[in-house]
Amino acid sequence: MSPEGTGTGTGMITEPPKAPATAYDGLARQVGEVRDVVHITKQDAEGLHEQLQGRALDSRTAAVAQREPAELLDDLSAEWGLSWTLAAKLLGVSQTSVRKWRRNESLTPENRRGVARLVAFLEMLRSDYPAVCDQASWLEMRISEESTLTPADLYAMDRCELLFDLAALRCAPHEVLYAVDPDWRASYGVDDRFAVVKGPDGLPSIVMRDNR
Amino acid sequence: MLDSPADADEVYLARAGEVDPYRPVCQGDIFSGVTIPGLDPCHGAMVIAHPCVMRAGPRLRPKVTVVPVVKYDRVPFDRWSTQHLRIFPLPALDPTRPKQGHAARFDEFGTVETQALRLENRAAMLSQQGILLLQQRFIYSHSRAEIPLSHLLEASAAVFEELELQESWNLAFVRPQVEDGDILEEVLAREAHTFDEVMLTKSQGVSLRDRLQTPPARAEVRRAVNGAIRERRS
Repeated sequence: MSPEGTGTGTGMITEPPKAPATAYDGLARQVGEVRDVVHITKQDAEGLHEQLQGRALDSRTAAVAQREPAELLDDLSAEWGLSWTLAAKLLGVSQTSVRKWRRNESLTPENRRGVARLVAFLEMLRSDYPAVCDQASWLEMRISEESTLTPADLYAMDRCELLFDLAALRCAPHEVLYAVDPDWRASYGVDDRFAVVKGPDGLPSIVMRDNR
Repeated sequence: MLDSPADADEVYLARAGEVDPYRPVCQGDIFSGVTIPGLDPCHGAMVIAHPCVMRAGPRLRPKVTVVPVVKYDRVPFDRWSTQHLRIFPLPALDPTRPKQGHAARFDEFGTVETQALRLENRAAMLSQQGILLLQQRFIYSHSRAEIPLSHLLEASAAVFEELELQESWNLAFVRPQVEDGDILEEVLAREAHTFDEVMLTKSQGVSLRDRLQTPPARAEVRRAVNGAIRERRS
């Protein structure tokens, strides 16, 4: 007979019966450990890759920056096919600034480096990511039909690492959007009340979307 | 809610001394010294016609729709979205007098002869974003429809692209001739024709101008036109 509990004593504790260990327990633990190692290695590799891509872009920028800024600006339009409006967006400056540079106004050292970095980035896209066949056109495309964000927006946000992952198809478009902003649907979602369609005269026309 | 700019620099492409004659006349351009028939004298006239209805081929149509630009209290940027909906505020239109506000009025408009829009009297040109803000506000003022800027851009992108390409063309070929003493208007008209011929060049049965309507083809068109500029220069 067990002694009656008084509220102060410890009484007797009986351990529940243990199920006998099976071969699966050990295997599950080992595979779990492998997964942990893979996860940590993946994170390390991603960090290292991002760092190396940044350094590659930096060193290419240094080489490109030796060229004449006017020549680089000319290349942005004639060779790479960028519009000046797009170039201004990518460089994080106003259209007015780019307009002045094209009229021979000199660039600040910071802006000169910005132009060189953009050319270096485009060169990297062409040499290391051949799947992106027209870099300027790719920069202007929406990342997803559900968002207004384009690769050009990401470049302007200084998120080149995401662009490289997107170009290499290492990240799905939605993964990229969540990395930019977890609330991207609210911040960068497409306004689905309207659509642009071909009008009766063959030119673009804005119409209400039928959401019924 | 309507959109608003962060600052005056976002609205304009060029003001006062920054303005030159090489960008073709466009929606949002402000001209001084223009009398709008039937309206009271005003500070200036803003072109309100959409870029795609202003031209017949390379030439401006003989008449163009404008709205009056008047002095107006400065509108703080945080009030653009909800107030002063019948005007387009023009912050620091004259950069030497940034505290003086102006606005383009939407409640009156008229038609002027395009030859009255003298390029030497062009006081300001709007940036692409400025033009989109103007379109959004003008549409809202006249129809109560609130169209997102992204859709307005999509609908006008091809026109903006061609405008920019023609400005590059003019900078490359009109400016040197004018600097050599040729008459600006004559050179502009001549080069507008040459540029138009380039834009009508067909590739795979489609003209460069029509290819601008397809977003993925735009970069290719820019390369083609800028390549033509390089080739002619060399």
